[in-house]
Amino acid sequence: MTTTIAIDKVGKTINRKEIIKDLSLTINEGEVLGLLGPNGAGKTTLIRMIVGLIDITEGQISVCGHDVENEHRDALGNIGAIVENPEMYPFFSGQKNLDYFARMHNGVSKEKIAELVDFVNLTDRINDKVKDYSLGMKQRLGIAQALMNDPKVLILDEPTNGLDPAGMQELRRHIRMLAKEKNVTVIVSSHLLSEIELMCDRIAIIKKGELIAVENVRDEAKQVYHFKVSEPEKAQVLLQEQFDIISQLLEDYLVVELPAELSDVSSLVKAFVNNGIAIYSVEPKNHSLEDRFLHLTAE
Amino acid sequence: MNKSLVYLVRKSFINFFKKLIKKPLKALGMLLLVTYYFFIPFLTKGVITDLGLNTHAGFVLIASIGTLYLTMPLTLTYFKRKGVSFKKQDINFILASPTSPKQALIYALSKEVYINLAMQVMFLMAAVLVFTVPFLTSIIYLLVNIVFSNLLSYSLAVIMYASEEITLKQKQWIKRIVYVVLAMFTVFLMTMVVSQTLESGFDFAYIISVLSSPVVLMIPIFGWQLGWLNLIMLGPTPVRLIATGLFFASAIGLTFYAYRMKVSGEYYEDALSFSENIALLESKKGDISLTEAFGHKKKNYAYKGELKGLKSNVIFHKQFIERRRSKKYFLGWSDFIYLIAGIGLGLTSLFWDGFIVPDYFLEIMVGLSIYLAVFFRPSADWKSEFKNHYLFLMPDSPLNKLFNASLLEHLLTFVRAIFLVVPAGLLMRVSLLEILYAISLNVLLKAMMTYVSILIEAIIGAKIGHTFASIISMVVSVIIMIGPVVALFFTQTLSTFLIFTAISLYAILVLFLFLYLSSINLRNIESLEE
Ligand SMILES: Nc1ncnc2c1ncn2[C@@H]1O[C@H](COP(=O)(O)OP(=O)(O)OP(=O)(O)O)[C@@H](O)[C@H]1O
Ligand SMILES: [Mg+2]
Repeated sequence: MTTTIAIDKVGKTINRKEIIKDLSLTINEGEVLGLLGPNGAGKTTLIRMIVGLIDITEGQISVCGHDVENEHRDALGNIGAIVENPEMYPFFSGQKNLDYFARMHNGVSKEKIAELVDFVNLTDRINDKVKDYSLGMKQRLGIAQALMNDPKVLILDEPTNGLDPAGMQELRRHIRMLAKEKNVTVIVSSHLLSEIELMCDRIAIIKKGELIAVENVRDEAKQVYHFKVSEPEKAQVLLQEQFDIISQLLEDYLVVELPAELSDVSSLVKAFVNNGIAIYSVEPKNHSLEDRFLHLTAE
Repeated sequence: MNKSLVYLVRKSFINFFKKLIKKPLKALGMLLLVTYYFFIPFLTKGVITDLGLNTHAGFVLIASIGTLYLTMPLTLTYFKRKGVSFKKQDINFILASPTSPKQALIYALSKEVYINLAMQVMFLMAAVLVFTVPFLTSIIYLLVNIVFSNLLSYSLAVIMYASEEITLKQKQWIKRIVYVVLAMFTVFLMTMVVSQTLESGFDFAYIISVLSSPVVLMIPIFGWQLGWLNLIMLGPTPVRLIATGLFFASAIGLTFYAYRMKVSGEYYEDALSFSENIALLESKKGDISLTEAFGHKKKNYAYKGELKGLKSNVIFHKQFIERRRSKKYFLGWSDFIYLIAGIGLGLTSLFWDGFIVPDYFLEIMVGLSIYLAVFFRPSADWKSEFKNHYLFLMPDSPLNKLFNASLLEHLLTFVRAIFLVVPAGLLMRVSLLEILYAISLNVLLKAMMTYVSILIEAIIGAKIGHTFASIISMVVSVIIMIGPVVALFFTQTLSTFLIFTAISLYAILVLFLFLYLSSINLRNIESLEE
């Protein structure tokens, strides 16, 4: 696997305040990395360093083999980004804004722009002025802008900001598609695990400028289900005997951790029903990561 | 005044000094600037004495011109609702607190108080030290003037901005009338002075007599203000007494009116629409004018131009479209002034023998260019381009970006140069070649100074403080201009072509040097952060 982004012992100091401390991380081609941390953790600062918007106080960052500071333009040629809220020209239409950036990139074909517009679902409103756009629409326009130069690396700072659930799902699907089919390396930041965990391969957790954990999301296919059943004790015994699963009884529901090889919950359901246990509800949960995130970032 | 505003004033004041302590270079710059201000009277003393103006009458002349051409235009900007601006960070605070529009307005105006006071102290020193006015007389004049003229301009500002009784139409008419009066007065003054000079030579005494004539003192408000100046400096006459009385009465009357004036909903509705527009304002750079803050939209003209150019060049085309949107005919008053000046220069040389000699056309024009280039700040449009983070992510060299972001400015300089040089040149009947030389040099010198100012005032200024940087910029400008000025002196002895070539090459060299130095210092968004 090739490394696309290498962050090597990076530190950032502003006004004698250390904002990022000795942070190292490598991201591979086609990988989607989530940058997770509470407000003020330093996500935006790190992203700004990766795209060369601010100086790197210590250490190095390279993108596609190019040092971000010394070979800035070579590195930039591979990057598409939204950093914080996309800055567009409010009195221009969405179309004109995209046209502006397309020309900046030395020309991007009309078809390509239309394709991007369609992709971010703005076709109906693309000729309206950006000042009349909603936050989510601006965000979509920003994403279209970031994809303009077919980047190998896509960096999105809080892309879910202002998106509605449908938009969020769309974005998620999209980012997975870019990573899988086009081998694009993606960094997405967020302070909400739930918003990005489904699209990421790995999640780097940052707190007060330090990288405190990197978690694999995909390996952790252990699925957790909450069962609400008529006879929880009987169900517990059944699970252990038939499936060799140790479950926990919490209040009035069973917490069942499904091993990776047993990804189908239907066999459990069938067993319950066959044994005369009524099922009121089954809820998939993935609390393990979220609990860990809360635990890791807790004061 | 409302508590939250008092808090804001106090905090800003304290923070101002805290910042100075943190940035010693900034503090030093401020100190130098203040010292410079206070030395103006001493610096000008020699010239003023040589001109025989070191008298009470001389003071009346200077103060009158100051009032008419500095104070009055300033007050007029309040009429346009543009002269009042808020710092971006104040906006949220003010709108979130229960502040009445009047208070917000006065808060915005109050930030000019310090500068105003400094000016008055300078005037005081000048009066006593240069114009030999007794200390007591000076201080009485100034104290009374400070009180009443501030009452006047503040209440006028409040009335013009917030009055709901006077309709927008009426306000526009008031504005126009004031402009017409000022223009008519200027023409009147000019013709009087010119004709008198033609008849019996130039004499300051004559200008003073015009400025203190009843016609001038009876100009509403501004003339009345001069009444007080004349009264205290030159002694009482019936007209001066009446003008002074009207000055006091109008100040008190208007203040009372402004105080009692009802300001109700309109303002707050504007404020609400503002909060909806907050994202838009956040994207705007620099201070925010009162008009923008309270939701009165700036007038824009529909212009449907297409973007052109590739890479950074598209910045220029975008700016072009933006200018077409904000200026109906692309050019504005500040551009046509050059046309008027050009025609004026030409006519003067035609009708006023020996004052402007066509033989010295190039010297005059280039001298004027140098003056304009050094003393008129370039527009900051380039800077707002660089405040958009995306610009840094675009794949082009910083040099190309900076050049294209300032290209429109050069184009405007070119147009202004044509306005200034062509009519003057045609009326003076100089050769076409000389006209071309003058236009080119004007553009080149101005462009050169643009990049000097960008490097020193914007980029270095972000690090060492803008006040200090502007002083350094002045010094550097003077040093840079020594070459062209010296060259000009040889225009008559050497060939015009040679001088033109020399200055052009020099300007191009310096231009690219500073363009290059600026661009390598515009690496990223931290370059312009303070
Ligand atoms: N220019 C600056 N000057 C001073 N401090 C700064 C600057 N930029 C960032 N910081 C500080 O660095 C820290 C990290 O900020 P950053 O914007 O990177 O956080 P974030 O993780 O993106 O937070 P959020 O989730 O709120 O976007 C904060 O404490 C912030 O105050
Ligand atoms: Mg952030």
